[in-house]
Amino acid sequence: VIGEDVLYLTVRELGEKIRTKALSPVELAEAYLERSEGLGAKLNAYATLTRERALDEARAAEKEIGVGKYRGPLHGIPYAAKDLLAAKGYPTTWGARPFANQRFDHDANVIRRLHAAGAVLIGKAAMIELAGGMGYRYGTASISGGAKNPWNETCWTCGSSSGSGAIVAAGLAAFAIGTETWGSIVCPSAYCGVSGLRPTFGRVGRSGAMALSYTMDKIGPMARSADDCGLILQALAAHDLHDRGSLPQGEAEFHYAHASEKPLRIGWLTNAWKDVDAEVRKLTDHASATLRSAGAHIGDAALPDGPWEAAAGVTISVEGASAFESLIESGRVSELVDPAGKIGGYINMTIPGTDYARAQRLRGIIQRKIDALFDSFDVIAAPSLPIVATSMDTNLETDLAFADPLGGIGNFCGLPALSVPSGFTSKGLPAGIQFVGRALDDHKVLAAANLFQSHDKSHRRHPSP
Amino acid sequence: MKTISRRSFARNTVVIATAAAMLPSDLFAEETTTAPPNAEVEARIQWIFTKYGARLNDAQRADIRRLIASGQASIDAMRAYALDNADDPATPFRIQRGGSAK
Repeated sequence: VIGEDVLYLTVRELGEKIRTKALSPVELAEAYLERSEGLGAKLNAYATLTRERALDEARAAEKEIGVGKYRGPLHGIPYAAKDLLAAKGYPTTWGARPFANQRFDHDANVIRRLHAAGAVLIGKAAMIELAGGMGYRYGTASISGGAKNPWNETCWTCGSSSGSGAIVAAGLAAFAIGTETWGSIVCPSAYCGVSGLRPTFGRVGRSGAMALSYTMDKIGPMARSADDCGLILQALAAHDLHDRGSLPQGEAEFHYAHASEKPLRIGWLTNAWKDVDAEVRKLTDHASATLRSAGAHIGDAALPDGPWEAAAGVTISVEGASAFESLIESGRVSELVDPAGKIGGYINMTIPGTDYARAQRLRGIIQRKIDALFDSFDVIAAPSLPIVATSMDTNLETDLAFADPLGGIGNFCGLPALSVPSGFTSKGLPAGIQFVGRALDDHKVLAAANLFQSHDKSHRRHPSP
Repeated sequence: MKTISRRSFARNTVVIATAAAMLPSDLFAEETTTAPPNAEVEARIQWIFTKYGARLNDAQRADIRRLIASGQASIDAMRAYALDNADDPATPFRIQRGGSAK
């Protein structure tokens, strides 16, 4: 019987056991599937389990490894993919009732790449309907209900990669794939106490993924450590012929190295959040001290002032309204679960084209300004969020809204970011810190997070759901 | 954990919900009740009511009115940023020749 001691191992650790044949990919997949069928259902973590495919892929991995054909550290590793990624023959609901019966006859690019790396798809992770593209007021805004936080089941996981966060935190799979347009990897990673990487825009190909914002959607891994995120990104990063936003192969490909060769220069942001919860602040200060004692050079940094969040918001709103125009025009947005989702599309349809064009012109300006900040720092850092997980019934409009210039600028400019747990509050809820880098400096955000996790073991803690 | 009131985070420009993947409607949600009516806000509201009004109940109409009115300040802030003619968009058109646009 495979127990939690194995199910909570990192991808690197599981991979080594599989490579040396100390662990059977089939038995591992069975164990995660069984846990997912029980605990996963209780947490509303999955949209669909892909048992048949999982066992086919696991058997194939076991057979190949048995004859010495080892593909690398993801070979035989079970994972879940957010339910906006097409998986051939299985439902791909985009988290939304109007698409409840949607199926594709092909795999999304990232699922193809993970298959090629030998990974085992065990399920489609629950998500906020349409990745929040029409707006939402509650964490329950999903066809599969609100994803419960494994650290406290009365709390939400955050979204929109809500199931991906729950799955990794609850030990239901070794890793999960999430997506981020604005905050959808960073926030659930922080709320759930896992490590989540938002890669540079264009590094991971999006063909076969639901589009919300053509110029801001990114796909990335959520896992038990930053090191795992690096291993997974290496498998995902490549030019995608069918994604116009995809970088040329020479820029998209990623060769992962665990550490930085030089001491990292980390700019600690003084204006990422207007106010930070006292316990989160204390954990963040401790993280900063940990990095400093580990050899990083820490200095204060500040984000440029300007209407960047508004411009990013206009971009998402207009691109989302276009992406879902037929849904909005048909009136089927009324089938969405959330009251805000039922009307958000209509509001977004009224934003003038000149505002969208202005947002894109402002984008060029903030790109130059933020790039200049990285002349002084390898990465910038801040709390992932100024709070920890909130209750499932929190009204996000009235009770939980605050400015997020780092999320706005980082996503608007396509910058890589990595959120890792910074520690736990007195109530046992995880907090997170995020590292954000210059475009294409995914290796630096990974190096910073690896440095932190080599001196802090918060990421090794797991709940007992 | 200490509950952080929304007021403590509120500011006069853009306010978003932590609920990620950015909520377009939340983006425009403000601490203040509603901004004073102006012609543009009213025109946007009436466009929705004219085109989609038959689908909307009273609560939805009120939400739409509130969200558009309260969000106007962030749009106005974006418009107030001075741009030169030479400030071109960050998303340029790329030509295509043959099967790939790359």
